[in-house]
Amino acid sequence: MELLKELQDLLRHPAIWRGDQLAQTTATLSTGFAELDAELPGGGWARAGLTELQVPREGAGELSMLLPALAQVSREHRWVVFVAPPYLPYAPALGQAGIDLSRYMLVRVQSLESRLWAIEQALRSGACGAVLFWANGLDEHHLRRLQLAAVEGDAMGFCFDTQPRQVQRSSPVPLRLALRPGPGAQLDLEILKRRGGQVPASLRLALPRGNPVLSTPLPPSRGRVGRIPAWRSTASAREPEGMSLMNGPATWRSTAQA
Amino acid sequence: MLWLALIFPDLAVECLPGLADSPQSWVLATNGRVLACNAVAAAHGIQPGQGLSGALALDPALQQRPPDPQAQQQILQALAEWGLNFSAEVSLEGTHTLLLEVGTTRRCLGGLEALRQRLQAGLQQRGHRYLEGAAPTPLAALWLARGAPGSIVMHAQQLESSLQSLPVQSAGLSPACLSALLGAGIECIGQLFALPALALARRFGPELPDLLRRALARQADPRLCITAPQRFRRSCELGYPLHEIPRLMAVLSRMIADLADWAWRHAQLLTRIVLVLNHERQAASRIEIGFAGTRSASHLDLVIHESLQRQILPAAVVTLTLEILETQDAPAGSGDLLPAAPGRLREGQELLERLRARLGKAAVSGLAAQADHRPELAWAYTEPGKGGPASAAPLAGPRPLWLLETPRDLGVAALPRLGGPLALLAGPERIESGWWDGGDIARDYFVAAGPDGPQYWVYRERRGEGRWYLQGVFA
Repeated sequence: MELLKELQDLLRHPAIWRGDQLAQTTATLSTGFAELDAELPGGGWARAGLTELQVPREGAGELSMLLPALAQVSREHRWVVFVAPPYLPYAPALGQAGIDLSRYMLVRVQSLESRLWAIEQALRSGACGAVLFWANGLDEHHLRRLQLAAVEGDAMGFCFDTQPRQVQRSSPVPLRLALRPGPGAQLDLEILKRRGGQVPASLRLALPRGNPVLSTPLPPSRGRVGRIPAWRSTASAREPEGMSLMNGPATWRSTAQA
Repeated sequence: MLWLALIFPDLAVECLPGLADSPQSWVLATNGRVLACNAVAAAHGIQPGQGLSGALALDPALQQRPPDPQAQQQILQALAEWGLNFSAEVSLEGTHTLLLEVGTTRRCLGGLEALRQRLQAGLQQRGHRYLEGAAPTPLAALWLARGAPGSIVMHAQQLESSLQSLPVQSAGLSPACLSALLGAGIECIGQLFALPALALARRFGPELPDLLRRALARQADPRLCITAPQRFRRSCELGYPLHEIPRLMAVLSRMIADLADWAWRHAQLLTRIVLVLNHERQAASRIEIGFAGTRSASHLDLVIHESLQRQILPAAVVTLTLEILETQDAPAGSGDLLPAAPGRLREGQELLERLRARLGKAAVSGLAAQADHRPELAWAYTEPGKGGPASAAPLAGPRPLWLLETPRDLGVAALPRLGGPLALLAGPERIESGWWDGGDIARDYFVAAGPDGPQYWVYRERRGEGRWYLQGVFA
């Protein structure tokens, strides 16, 4: 018994990897979703390195999913940088999610060349905790270069790809996820690749949005908008167990795994 | 005392960077003689001291120009200022040579060997070939550098024995004196030591025994030392018009290294510098660059490079001038050993400057939340780092992370249509505001979902025909 315990202690050494474990990476940051943490190597986003998020269509909840991590990064006084987002990031929503806007940088750039340059500069600078960038069709060479920059600058890089290729080619990105909008304010997530070589997994996350509630029978008849009853705050009508931005982003709930 | 002599034999060419790096063969010539040549010309077999006609026979495409003593003096002065990083006493000797007193400073710099390695690395980066010698007296160091480059003599007692075998040419005597010595069969310095001083003075002039006494530390040899200038302004004559940015940057990077050095020596942070590029027959281009306060050579180099790439140069550049316009005092104790500034503000500022230098000022911004109920006015662009913390007041309802800069028209039907009709999930949230500034709105906001999942933030105008608009996406 004593021997077994010693052996177990020995096997807990970080340099030993066993076939049934996920890889242990050096430093990670919790995603804010217990279900997702359990599936990721090291229990969260790798602090230094790229993550590829395949989002066939914007609005799947891809940004909400990252908010807890981004809020943590900005609590550490590191910069959060968005490079070439498809729409305008809405400052009040970012602020409510706990992102310190005094450590937020928005880079608007058109050409792919300048975009890649800016992403690399941001990743490598050592000032940024997280760099989110939107660029389709990056090839292996680009991604390898950005991955190296991220490791060097100790930054998390999130690459949003809205036109994922059908044919999967080898990619230097250590973590690749595919996201789809699920029913309600939920997100279907599929892990395509992760360190540790486990089979792909899929899960469903409940996103930290104020669970929307319709307060009136709708719609009002055309042109007679005055008939809508008095304004009712969605906050008061929220389901009691629902999580919302207004309650503070302490722990996010995640629903059943698919 | 330990003096280090640095001789720059190719300085006449190296002070004209456009010529030194030129792919064509160039020589500096006066009175029909080649004084110096660049590497390409040397590859053709051209040597300094050769007649110009002989050189032209070796390479008919040879280009020539007279030397520029002023540029040479300027670059020697720059090197001397850089030498202040290694020694408190730096003096210029002639047009090619620097003398550094390193006996007092070598210990701070990790010993003579470490100091020499740093010198070597620095000079290599600046692209200078040099010969060195070290000895307890400046003259002995100089003679060693000329006669036996690379040799070091640490003690005054060893001076006589180590100088003995040097040829008499390395003493740098006047041509008349030198020919008289050679005529008398005196070929090495050791023979001079063997002769009585009185006889030497009578035959070769009183300076010679004096020189020997100073070289052997038997007589004081005071030197005039340079002081660092209080203002930084450096220009460089290229010698050959250049318009390729990489080659301009090669020249500039030396000046930038000096600039960063200057800032360190004076405990200053640079906040505004100007780069002036003179062209032939065109108005000069002037690039002013502002910083949040930096003295890192690599950062300066990057920002200047990007700024230069954005600048449209009307013609090839003949002269470069780099000048400081404004500095601020560096905060005490901000050395590299100490941890970085809180919140990595400094790296953030450097990143910002680099990005703006290439992409333009407007491409990089921060965001701030504004106290306004109208969604399109509840945010504003701001300087990065000035966004401030979000207000503590909770938002009145769900707010999307993506905002459309101009709302998209979704028709006037009973339900908004985007592809197909959207289902309304939450709302309405009525926003009526702005009657006082002309931006009057009256809208009912809803959260709507499309058939394929994504949720949208839509509103219906409460005026006119009640059109639906899409304003945001919950991402």
